[in-house]
Amino acid sequence: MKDPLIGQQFSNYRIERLLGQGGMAMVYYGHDIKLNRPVAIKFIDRRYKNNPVYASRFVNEARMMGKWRHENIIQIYYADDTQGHSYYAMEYVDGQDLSKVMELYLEEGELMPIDDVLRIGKATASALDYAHLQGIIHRDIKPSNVLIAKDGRVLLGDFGMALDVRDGSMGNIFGTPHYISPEQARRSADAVPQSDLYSMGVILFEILTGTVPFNDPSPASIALQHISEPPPSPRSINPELTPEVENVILKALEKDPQNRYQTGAKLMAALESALKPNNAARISLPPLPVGVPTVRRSNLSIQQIANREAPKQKDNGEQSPIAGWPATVKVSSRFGKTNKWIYGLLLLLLIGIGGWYFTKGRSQPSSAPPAPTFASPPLPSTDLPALPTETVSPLLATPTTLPLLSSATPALESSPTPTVFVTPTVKYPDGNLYSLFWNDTSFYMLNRSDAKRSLSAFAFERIDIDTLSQEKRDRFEGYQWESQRFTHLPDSFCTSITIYGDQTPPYMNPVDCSFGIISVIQPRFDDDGGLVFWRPESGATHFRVLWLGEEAARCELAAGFCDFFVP
Amino acid sequence: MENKKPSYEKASQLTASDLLTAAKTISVQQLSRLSLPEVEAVVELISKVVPAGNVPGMILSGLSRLPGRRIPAQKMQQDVNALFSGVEQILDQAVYGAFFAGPAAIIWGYQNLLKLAGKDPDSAFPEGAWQFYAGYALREDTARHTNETHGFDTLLRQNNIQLNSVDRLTAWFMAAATCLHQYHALLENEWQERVSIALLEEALRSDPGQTQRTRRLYREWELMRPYRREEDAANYDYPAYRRLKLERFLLDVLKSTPTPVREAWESKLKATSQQELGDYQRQMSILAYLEPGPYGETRVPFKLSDAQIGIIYHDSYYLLPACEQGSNKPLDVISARAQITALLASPFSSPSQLSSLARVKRASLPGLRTKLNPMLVNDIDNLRFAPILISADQHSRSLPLSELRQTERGIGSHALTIFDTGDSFVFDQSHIFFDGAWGTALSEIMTNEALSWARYLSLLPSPTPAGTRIYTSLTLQLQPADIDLVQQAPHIPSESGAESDRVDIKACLALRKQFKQRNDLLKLTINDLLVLYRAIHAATYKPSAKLLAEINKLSETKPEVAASLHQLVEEGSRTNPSILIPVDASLKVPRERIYPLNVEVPLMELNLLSLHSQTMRMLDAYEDATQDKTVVYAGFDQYQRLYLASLAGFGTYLSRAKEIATLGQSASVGAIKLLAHLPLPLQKLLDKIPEKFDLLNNLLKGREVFSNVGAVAPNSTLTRFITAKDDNTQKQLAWGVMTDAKNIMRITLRDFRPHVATLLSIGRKDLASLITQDYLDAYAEGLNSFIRDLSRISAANRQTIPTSKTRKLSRIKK
Ligand SMILES: Nc1ncnc2c1ncn2[C@@H]1O[C@H](COP(=O)(O)OP(=O)(O)OP(=O)(O)O)[C@@H](O)[C@H]1O
Ligand SMILES: [Mg+2]
Repeated sequence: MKDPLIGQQFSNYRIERLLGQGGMAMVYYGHDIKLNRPVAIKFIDRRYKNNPVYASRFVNEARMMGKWRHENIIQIYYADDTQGHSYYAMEYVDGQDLSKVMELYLEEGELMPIDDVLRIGKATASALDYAHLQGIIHRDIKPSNVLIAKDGRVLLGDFGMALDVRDGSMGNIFGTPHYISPEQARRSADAVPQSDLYSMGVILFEILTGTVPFNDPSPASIALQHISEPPPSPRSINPELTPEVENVILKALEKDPQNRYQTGAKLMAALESALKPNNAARISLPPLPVGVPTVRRSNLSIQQIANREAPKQKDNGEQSPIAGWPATVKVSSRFGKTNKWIYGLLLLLLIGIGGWYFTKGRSQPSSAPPAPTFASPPLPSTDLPALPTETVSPLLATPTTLPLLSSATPALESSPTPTVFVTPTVKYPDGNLYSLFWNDTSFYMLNRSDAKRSLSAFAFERIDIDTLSQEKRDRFEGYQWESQRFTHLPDSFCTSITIYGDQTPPYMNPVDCSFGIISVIQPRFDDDGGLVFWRPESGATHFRVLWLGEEAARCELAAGFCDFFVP
Repeated sequence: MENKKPSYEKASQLTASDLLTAAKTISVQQLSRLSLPEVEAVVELISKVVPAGNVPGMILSGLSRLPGRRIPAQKMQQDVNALFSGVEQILDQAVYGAFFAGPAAIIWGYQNLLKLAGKDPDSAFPEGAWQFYAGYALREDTARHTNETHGFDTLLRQNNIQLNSVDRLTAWFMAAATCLHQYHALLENEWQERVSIALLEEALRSDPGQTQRTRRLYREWELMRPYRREEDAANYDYPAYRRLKLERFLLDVLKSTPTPVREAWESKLKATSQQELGDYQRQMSILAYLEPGPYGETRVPFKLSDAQIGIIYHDSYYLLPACEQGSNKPLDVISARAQITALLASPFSSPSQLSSLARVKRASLPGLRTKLNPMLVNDIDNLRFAPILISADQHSRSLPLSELRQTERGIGSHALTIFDTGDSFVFDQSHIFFDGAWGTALSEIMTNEALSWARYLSLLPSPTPAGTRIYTSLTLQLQPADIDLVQQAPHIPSESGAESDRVDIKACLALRKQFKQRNDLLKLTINDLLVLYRAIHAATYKPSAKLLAEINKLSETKPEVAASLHQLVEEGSRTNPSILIPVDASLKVPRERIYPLNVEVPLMELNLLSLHSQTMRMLDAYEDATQDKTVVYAGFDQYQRLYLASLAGFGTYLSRAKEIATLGQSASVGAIKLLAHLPLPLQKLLDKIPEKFDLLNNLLKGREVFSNVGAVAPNSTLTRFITAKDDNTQKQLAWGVMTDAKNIMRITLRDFRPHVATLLSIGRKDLASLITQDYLDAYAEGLNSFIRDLSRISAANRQTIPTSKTRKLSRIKK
């Protein structure tokens, strides 16, 4: 029985194969034929397709989140509601989700090294704090929504469950009972940012002890335990944990949201100092040098885990867990692998609050065929090119397991008009691709081609409606990015302009710029010197990209994202 | 502070008028042994070029301690007591008159003699007085600071990263190349931080609501100034990151600043930076080599694109360009790595012997140059383009820094040499380019930069050697004739070094607190205590039994040497050392770098030694008394007061002296200024004066250096520090003090006393080391017990019957 979606094209995306299925959606591996990069595409499940409220919420939220840029949040590229399908395309993360990583550890009878616990925890916490700042609660924090890329990056996805707090509530619970916070279990609308942090507390409990705090064949019973039972002492399960660590976890699992850590950063800071009490003597390494061709940014042990698949290679001894940490811990299995969750109204009756139900079944990866990308062997280090400057950008790389796209793929005009992002004026369609991202405080340009183009050939200016302001139109000249080191933007690198002086800047940190940013220009908020052309002023809606003085593209200010080509 | 000013000015006026009278009685000819025509010639020339010195500055800077110009000890004591009891009137005019008038009269007379011409004193110092002085008198191999960081190896170990030797060297090569590229930006950071904050403090001081915070702004910034890129710096290089942090800091302060104040500050900062920043960057740039001349060094700048990084491997020198060919771009890491792979794999050439040249006096190098073999001279010239040398040969970390650096290290025409100990890195820095504080900061910054590269390199596949080599290997062998020439040339004095971490810094800090609780005027800083005890140590030092036994053993074979060693000890205890303390002058005007402050602890004048022992005796008596404690207490109380008053007087005096030095008005600065304005032949003439004219010598040079770079930042991995010594042969000891992140105070001593050379010449280096170590250990141990005593003295108070508990405690502490 062939999946009818496979082989189809939506917008620029060709659907290639199923990656997995969750409670309300299917996730496919696809290919962006225009930008020639892999994508993951999430289609809303048929069951919800016909619920127009939910479907449009799905698309709208995805569009809104397309504007987010955070290192630890899966980037959404595009969202649409077409041909009877609601879907969004996002960054494809080549790796594994945290639940699988945890299973691998369990199978080996090991616990994750502390450094990785902290790294994953901090990344997730940082993503959550960012979302909370934007007024969004995730509501579905669980290991399967934390993806760990082979290059070591940690990404949080699936804000699909999230309700904009400003919108109020739909009243339904989509949460997963193992990780659900007491207030969500009672009433979905009661979720607060600290509910996500409770779920994070459950994940940390599980990582550090090997088991979740509440486990029961009946999901209703699990939810009830979250509401009323005190969690077991983590030390009773893993005696190696210190009382300090236990205190942090238990505080994260407080029933009353007010008694928990209020931000992810605080939770992780407390956990770090509990896990590493002598941290004063231990100093972390500084980040990689700026502007180097990036090979991998991760710590190796995570990579190893993320790379580790069916062939269970034994450690070669180099990456042993942190000294002093137990090599093995006996833990009970989290839950029966084939256990189907049964949902009912029993609990609803028990606690007397209506309007919620679990909708979620757990499809087991063990029964599904392994995803082909994971079956490819881990990248041995000798496979890395000798000269990183020649490294193919992972954003552009096509997995070799995929059939190569023929040049006869449908032309641009056949694709529907994107609704999230503005189509660039394509003056040089065969040219070299550059991408722009911006928000209120930051502007980034990324070279997606391997062409070396002088930075001074670029300029940007806002197209002001008000003709009077023509003369002092905000404009930025690319030469200002030039430095002793760089006169052009190397392949896969970014340059940026960040406005300085805002007291609460959510500065953008585009994942696509993780290769490196070669230059940062910093105008001030109060006096930006007329450099800030990408913020809407006097009714302007677009800015133009100039190449050697000529307009090469127009970008919509509100879009936050724009691609263009230069010769 | 404000209300002290009038009395300060009044005191100056009073003193000046006192001086007028005093000066008339002093014959000009008695001051100098120059012949009359010589004096006249000096007067004539100097009157044309020397601007007016600041007379009150000269007076206040501690001239009271000139040999043979002392006021009676008793009088001094009275004055100090008066000073201490007259709480508000810290600067009692009467005290000033007595303290300063006599000796100050001399310098006043001297200056008067020179008919100072009243020009702008700073006009002759585009780079500040210290820069001039450094090039003039801090040029020899001994005029280098050396410090050490352990962060590179410690952090790699903690993060389970193991580097092969290629990557180890590559990481440091990249750190060095990055350093050269960022140097201007780093200097801009340094400059901006000081000037913007100083100007802001100044601007805020006029705002009455602000006074509390304003004085501490720079301190606040110091506490948060980053020395490395943290996680939030992934996209910024270090200078950009640090600038960002500064801007955030300033913005926070400016939030509550009225707009007019802010605007005035901004425009002043802008104007100042337009005028001065570029000059400062040129002055401090390490993209320059030193060209030795007979009287001083000339800094010869060169282009970044010409810069090389020198690599010393198996005692041979190699040059690897810091930039891509024909550009200003740094050599990319992959090429650097491939070159270093090839370099380390190359069969080594015969080792160089430049270290023998490093010890030759710089003044004789121009002469030597004409006689040495041309090949050697040619490659010495090539080496000049390497401002940074990295020695890949591993040197034992167990050596004192002063000894560790005695290896291949260029000939001293460059800024920085980095040594690998396998466990830490050691930075050897020319004082012409670095002051102690900036030098240690840069070591920290470079260590973190190297770590960043190490982290990157550890991700790469194993290196392969480059096909084409862009590094050059230098031929720096000395022929027999060259060796002869070098041996005959005048050399710098021999040196022996010792280090100690035995000082109990916690006890020092506790004592300070205790003092402060007792009386607000008892304001002795840690440094004051260290300096004070140095004078006591000089006067009381007794060699340990072990050392005495060694010396006695030596007397069997070398009786005359042994006798001279005994004499050394005795002489030492007779001279009260004049101590040169470098005071940071860069806070307001970065180019000024350092103001030297000369201090001679008024041990005799304040009768500190006997006061100490008498007070202790009275305290013991009081504690041991079984009956009438009141009487015994009264006796102790009298001494205790007098002693603490004297100490307070000393503290006040030192802090005043420091204040004056910071204003650039110390006598030492005055003397430097005097020198700088002279045409070269006259400088030579005047340079002889110190030998004839004790006054100037003492002022200018002091007998020893005491440099305390303070406590390092909490995350710093700096561990050791030795200080530079200027070229004056009178200066025989150089003390370096640094407190590391674990709060361990490390004291280092460089010993240049003549016995070192004697002992080296008879092959007894071990004994020379033993003598230095014994001297330093005695200092550290003695300081600890001195602090314990002081703590006991200041803690004791009136009580008829001491409880058994306090008694016990004080006994245990003994
Ligand atoms: N951007 C992505 N890149 C690669 N794989 C992804 C991506 N997004 C999701 N996946 C994978 O697709 C699978 C299905 O994801 P989905 O979110 O639908 O289910 P879930 O996370 O198990 O449950 P839920 O619907 O509650 O989030 C997961 O196994 C996940 O690892
Ligand atoms: Mg999911």
